[in-house]
Amino acid sequence: MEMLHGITEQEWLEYLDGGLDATDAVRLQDHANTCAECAGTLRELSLWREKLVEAAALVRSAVETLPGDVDRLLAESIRRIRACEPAALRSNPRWSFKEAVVLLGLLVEPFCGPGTAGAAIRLAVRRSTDAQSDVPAVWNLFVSNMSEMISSVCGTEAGRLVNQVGICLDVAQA
Amino acid sequence: MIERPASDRPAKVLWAAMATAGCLGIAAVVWPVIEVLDQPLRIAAYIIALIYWLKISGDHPKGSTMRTAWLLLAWSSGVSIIRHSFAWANYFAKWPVSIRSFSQFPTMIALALLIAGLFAIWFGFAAIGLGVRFRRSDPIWVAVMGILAFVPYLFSWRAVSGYAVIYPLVSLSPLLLAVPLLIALLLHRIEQEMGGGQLATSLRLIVAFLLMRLVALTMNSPALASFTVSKILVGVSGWTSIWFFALAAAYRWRLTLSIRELTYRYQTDPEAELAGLVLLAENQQDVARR
Repeated sequence: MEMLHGITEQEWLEYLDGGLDATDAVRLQDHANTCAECAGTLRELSLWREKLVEAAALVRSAVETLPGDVDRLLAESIRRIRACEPAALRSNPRWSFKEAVVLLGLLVEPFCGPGTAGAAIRLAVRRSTDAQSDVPAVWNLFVSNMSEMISSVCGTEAGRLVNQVGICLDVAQA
Repeated sequence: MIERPASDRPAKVLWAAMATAGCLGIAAVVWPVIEVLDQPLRIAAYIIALIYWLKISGDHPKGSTMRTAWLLLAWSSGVSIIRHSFAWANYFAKWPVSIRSFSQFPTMIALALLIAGLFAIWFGFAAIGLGVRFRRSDPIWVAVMGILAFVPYLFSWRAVSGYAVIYPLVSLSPLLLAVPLLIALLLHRIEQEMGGGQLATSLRLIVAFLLMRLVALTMNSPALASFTVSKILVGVSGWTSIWFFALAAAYRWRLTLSIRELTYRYQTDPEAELAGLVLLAENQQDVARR
């Protein structure tokens, strides 16, 4: 755990979660007000926390969704992303495509191994990529293909998990 | 939706059963009376495998390659149960060779189903690009397996039958043994390319099952069977091989249970799970940088 000026990341996280007692919370707040470096760390951690909470809320709603509703969710996600202005996309904290792929790969590795995850990712990227671009046009299409690949070897439940977690990651389109 | 965490207990019980079977196999060399337990233990292992393969096939959509694969393995287990029940009945009834030789029918059917199932597994993985690259040493392994598979064939005419139809079945036996071994090599390559994971463990156990069968059959050929070492090897490999098959099924089913457990965890505490994934990703990037 990294420590800067006697304050660990864990303490900053607890501060953000409201888990510190009043004295420590005031001490950290006072320090952040006077130290630009720690204020930066606090901003960065706060951004990560927001991303996690946002993605987690989406995961929660998706896992409660019946498989039949997945298509509707996909369509809504695509519509929402398309409706965003480029500037809004830039200012809104999102997972990069690469980050999200890494997360999905790590999700399935304990079950089917890094080799299978890698093969599924490569194939899903290839299937999701249009002729003009080297990157998948739509993240959700990639997730759908990845889910299909994993489902074909690890079973429907594994594929559904990939789909549910994948469509909930708010990924910035390339 | 869920449920209980994926437990190690069934696998532990099966490992213990396999160890017990191995010990009994060695003991049977000294005390032949123990052989009365051989067929019931094989039947028990195949029943366990049958139940697991059927449950696993239910986790794949109808018509999918892997569902077909697991169903074929289930059917192979079912036919093997008939085969070993027949052999157990024969242990008490002491039927003449002409009747005994009918066991070749379920033997061949079970082997054919096993081959089809293993091929379907390979086909399922080949569809995502695994198991389609070969190494320079593979032809050597193919040759070794071919030779080992045909050793029992050279001495297999002991299964004499009064029925002409049995002869072609007996002569097919080594071929049906050699083909699963070749597929075992493919599965081994797949399992290596997978780089770990629960599914790879299951495949590794299927490969072990096929190899142990080959050892048992080769060592049991008339040319080798009289040696004490061969008898011990036959005892260990013959009695334990089927438990590898049951273990492969148990580990594959455990994968499904683990996924259910993870889905449940995402449902109850997605923040913690996503945070865990992010930490893993960061660690991986750190390792890559080093």
